[in-house]
Amino acid sequence: MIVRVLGDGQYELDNVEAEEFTSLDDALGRHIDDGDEEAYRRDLDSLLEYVRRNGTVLGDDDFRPSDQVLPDPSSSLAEIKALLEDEQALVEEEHAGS
Amino acid sequence: MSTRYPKDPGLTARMTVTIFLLGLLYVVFIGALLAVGVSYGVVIVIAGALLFAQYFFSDKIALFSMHARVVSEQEAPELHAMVDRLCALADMPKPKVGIAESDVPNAFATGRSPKAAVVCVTSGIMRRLDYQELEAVLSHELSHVAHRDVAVMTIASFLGVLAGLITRFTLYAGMFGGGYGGGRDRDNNNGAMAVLAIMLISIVVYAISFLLTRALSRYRELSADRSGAILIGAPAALASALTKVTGAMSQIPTRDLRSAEAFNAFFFAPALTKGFSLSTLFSTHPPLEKRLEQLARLEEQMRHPA
Amino acid sequence: MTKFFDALLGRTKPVPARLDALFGLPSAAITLQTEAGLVSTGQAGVCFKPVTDASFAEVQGDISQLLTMVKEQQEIKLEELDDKLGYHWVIITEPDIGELVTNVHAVNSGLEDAGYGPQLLCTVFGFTSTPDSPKPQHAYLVYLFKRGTFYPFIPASGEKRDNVAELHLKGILEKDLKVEEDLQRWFPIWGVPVS
Repeated sequence: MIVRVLGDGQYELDNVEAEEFTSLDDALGRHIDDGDEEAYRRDLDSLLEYVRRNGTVLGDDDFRPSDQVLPDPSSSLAEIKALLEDEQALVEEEHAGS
Repeated sequence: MSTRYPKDPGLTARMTVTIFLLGLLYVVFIGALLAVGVSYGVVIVIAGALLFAQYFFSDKIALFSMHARVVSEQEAPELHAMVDRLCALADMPKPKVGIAESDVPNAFATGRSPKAAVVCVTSGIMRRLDYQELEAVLSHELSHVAHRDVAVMTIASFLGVLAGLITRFTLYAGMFGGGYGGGRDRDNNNGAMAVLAIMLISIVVYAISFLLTRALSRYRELSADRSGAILIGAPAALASALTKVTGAMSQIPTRDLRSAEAFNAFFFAPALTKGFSLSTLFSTHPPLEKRLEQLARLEEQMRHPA
Repeated sequence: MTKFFDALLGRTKPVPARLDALFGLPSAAITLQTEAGLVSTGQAGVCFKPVTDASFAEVQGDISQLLTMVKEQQEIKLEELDDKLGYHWVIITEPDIGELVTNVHAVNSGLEDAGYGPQLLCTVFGFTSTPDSPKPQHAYLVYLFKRGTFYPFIPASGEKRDNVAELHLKGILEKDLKVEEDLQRWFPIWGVPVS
């Protein structure tokens, strides 16, 4: 599984790590939805820590799409929420367009 | 004009919609100005002059604003060779080639039509990218020219500039007590009302034209990435160029610390840092990582077509 | 000149706050090895701009005299050189990173006490990848004397930089060192005379 950390790079997790990651990631998603900044901050930092510790950095020449994207630590909950909504708008647009 | 750049139906659809809406906006704008009492003469003269200037001099205006200058084959042989090769690959006329002296890595294409287009790079980008990456960026820019979306953006910006110009003109005309071409017997507060109304209309028009083009400008970048990468068959090269040119990467200078000392390396005075935040990155351009993901998927499709 | 030598020989002299940042380097070196496979090349260079006007001429002499004095007294292996941009370098060689930092600090504070503070530009520490590391790399850590901050500089061929690796290193260094936040100050030092 490949995880992209916004503003940093891509990391590859093997299958075992992928499962652990997904459970942590779901929790993060819930915090973003209910706007719990403090829990979001805590989970995001632990998730980033997890990915950086376990994941292997994708080499420059290794060019594969990511399965998951994590916000970078400096972005606030509001910024990421806006990004997600923006992303949603773009996706809808693309369907509408093609 | 058909080139070998892959067609993008999504882009063409969006461009036609945007042009249609801009045209509508343009008509409504002129109608509103006339309704408020701006004389025919004023509107036609300004709109006409601007349209003419924008249409015939858009490349010169862009070059001037970016402090760029057109370079000949002798001045930049490698750059010209790269553009030649891409134009042959895309089977399109070769635009003029320009270089802007600036450490900020950047590249842009302008011009109303492929024949009158200019493709320009900054010295900063040439210092940062290797051959394949620079070629990928040029391919991206040339696909803007081929898709003619540069022309749409020029028309869109024309409307914004027009709205701005007419606002300023009516402001000055209002200040110096000139009539608005309407009847001489209007007393002063009526004139002030007209100035206010014109300004309001222009601001609204500017805002709408910006919104109309914002979605298009984000989509056209993704489309130019796609077709640019497909033409040279190297999404990875464009991806690594993008990483080096946008986002935090572009902040890192290439000028030597010892020659930059006069600036601020020695002194504690903080460098003039333009705010770089997540939001600025995402305003008109699609987020960098989104463009990288698209290119990564493209690379995967190329490596083992479904 | 006595206070100068006191400082050098480490007698009671408050270390200017800026120089404390240097002492974060040994622990950063450990993190660099574990997380980026980079080890110190055992060499660092203190870079300053010699003052050209006459009044400092005799002080200039004092510098070489100071450095030879330091060399003998503290058995620091150092040499001086001038680069093509008119800067003076004091290259210090010391395999042990802890010792290297102490020596660099001695030279920096020695120069500062001799009135060279305003001319001190930076100190550059050389790092290289361990032979078994997958990605052979040569990286420098630039310490901006004035700002008391560090930033990575990874040169690539043809006066280009590996910004991707530099930003990645920033993430690793931030745990132990005060990294220069303003990326626009990460000026490169092309042809840095430090291995």
